[in-house]
Amino acid sequence: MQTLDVIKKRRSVRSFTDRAVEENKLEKLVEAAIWAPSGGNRQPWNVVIVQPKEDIEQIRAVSPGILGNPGALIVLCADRTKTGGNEEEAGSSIGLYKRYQNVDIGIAAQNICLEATELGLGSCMVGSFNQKAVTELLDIPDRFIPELVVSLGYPQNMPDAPPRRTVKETVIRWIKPEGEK
Amino acid sequence: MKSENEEKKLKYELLKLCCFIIVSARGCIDEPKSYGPLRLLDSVERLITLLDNQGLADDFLKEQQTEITTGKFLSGQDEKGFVEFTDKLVIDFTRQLKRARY
Repeated sequence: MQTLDVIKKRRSVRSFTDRAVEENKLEKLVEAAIWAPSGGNRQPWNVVIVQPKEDIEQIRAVSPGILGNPGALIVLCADRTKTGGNEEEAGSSIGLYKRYQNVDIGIAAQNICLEATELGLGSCMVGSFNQKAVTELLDIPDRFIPELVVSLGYPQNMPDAPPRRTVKETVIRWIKPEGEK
Repeated sequence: MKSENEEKKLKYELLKLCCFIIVSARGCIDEPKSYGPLRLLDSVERLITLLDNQGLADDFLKEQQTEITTGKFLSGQDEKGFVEFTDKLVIDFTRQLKRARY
């Protein structure tokens, strides 16, 4: 598929079949994530992958944003050692990387969702989960903080695309070369 | 009479539901206002699933669960439709409450 076609085909899927997500596909999704750009090339992401049904159920119990019955979860975690972790660093270059941290995680998550679309999987980015509870359930070391969950599975049905604004409505100003209108 | 294992499973399912409601309560402090109704409807949906697994969900609850499963997605997509949907749930459940009185 052309890139723009994949982008337009992606949906936030919240209803999945019982079909398990293959391990080789999950590996490809992680590969897509690690090729995301990041501020200062810090690559602040690490992931936890969850496949067993009951483990997913436990994560769902502390993640109101996960709807449906996904076949796998990818929990994107920020590595504090790569982005800075305290207020004194604010304003320094480390502080700046901290500011970029969630942008970087978001880009990596988008890469996952686009690759998932290409592989015939449904995906949904979820921010509505309790970070402390997910850390506890998954025994995530202190160094990492879960920032975003991507739920995955084979779609039960694909939702319609919500309306989008046009290019014209989106551009505030388009400063064109002299002489062009 | 439930076996020890069935009782253990039921307690575990109840604990998961409690976790969900508590985490939702914490989340609602920071999250958009519109998420609150969605979380409550999700909780009802999960409660009915739990009751159904125990053979305690009647036809009314099963029908309502189906309604909620699809209707909850109106939240954030069609505000007017979501209000109408929740109004209908209120009436349906209230009528059932009247009928069920013993």
